[in-house]
Amino acid sequence: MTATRPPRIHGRDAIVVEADYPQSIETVWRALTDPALVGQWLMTSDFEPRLGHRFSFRTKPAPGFSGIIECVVDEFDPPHRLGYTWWGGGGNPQTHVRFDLASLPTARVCGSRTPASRPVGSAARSSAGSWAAAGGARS
Amino acid sequence: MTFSVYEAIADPTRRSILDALAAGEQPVNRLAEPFVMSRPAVSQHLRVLREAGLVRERRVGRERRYSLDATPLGEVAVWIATYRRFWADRMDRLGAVLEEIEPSHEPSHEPSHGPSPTTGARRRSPRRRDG
Repeated sequence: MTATRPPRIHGRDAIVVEADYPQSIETVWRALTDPALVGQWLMTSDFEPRLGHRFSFRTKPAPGFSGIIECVVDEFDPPHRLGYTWWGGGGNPQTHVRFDLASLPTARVCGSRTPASRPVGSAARSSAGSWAAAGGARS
Repeated sequence: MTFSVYEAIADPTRRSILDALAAGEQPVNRLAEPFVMSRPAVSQHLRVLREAGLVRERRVGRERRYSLDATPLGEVAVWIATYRRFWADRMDRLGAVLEEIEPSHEPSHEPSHGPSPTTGARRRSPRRRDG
């Protein structure tokens, strides 16, 4: 009932997670940029969808981690790309998270569906390496 | 200042040095051979690797020899594995949120006329939720 395919993880210089969703690219973009929706699948934050916005995610603290992740929106290209820096404080390396969304033109099924989208990912880039998560959407 | 293992492996030259050391202990001269850089520059990279705990140094006569200690890389492996799991899990949750705000109306059974020959191959049951 979630992704059409389970998330696929790959990547050499980044952690890349790719997933396809049946919803439209606009819907996926909304879920990535509406703070209330982001809070449902990622974490509570004071995110705002604009370039340069500084915000933080808040979650449970753990040893060596305050539970606060400081971020700055540094890529904002609706509805295709969203990127922010990601720093969990302390000795944690700063990384970069990027979501890339794309429509999946091959997903027209039985003539009854509109083209799909591949979204998304988040990629994190740090001085040590990087990771990314990607998802896909279909409409 | 001391360097973290993340900073140490961020540099391609330092990663090459680690690769070379994987073959065994080496004197600094031999380590420096493949690089177009001064000995002091190589020594600086070795200092960063040493402070990160990735390289051990010992003196043999007037020569300094270096060897690999891969132990700190375990921390990196755990860190990466944690984020892989984290994002795979979150992408799954994102799918559930998407389904709530815009149900995809997936049929509860496969269509009796079968999948379209051009697109059916990539269709999978959407019920899988673990990745």
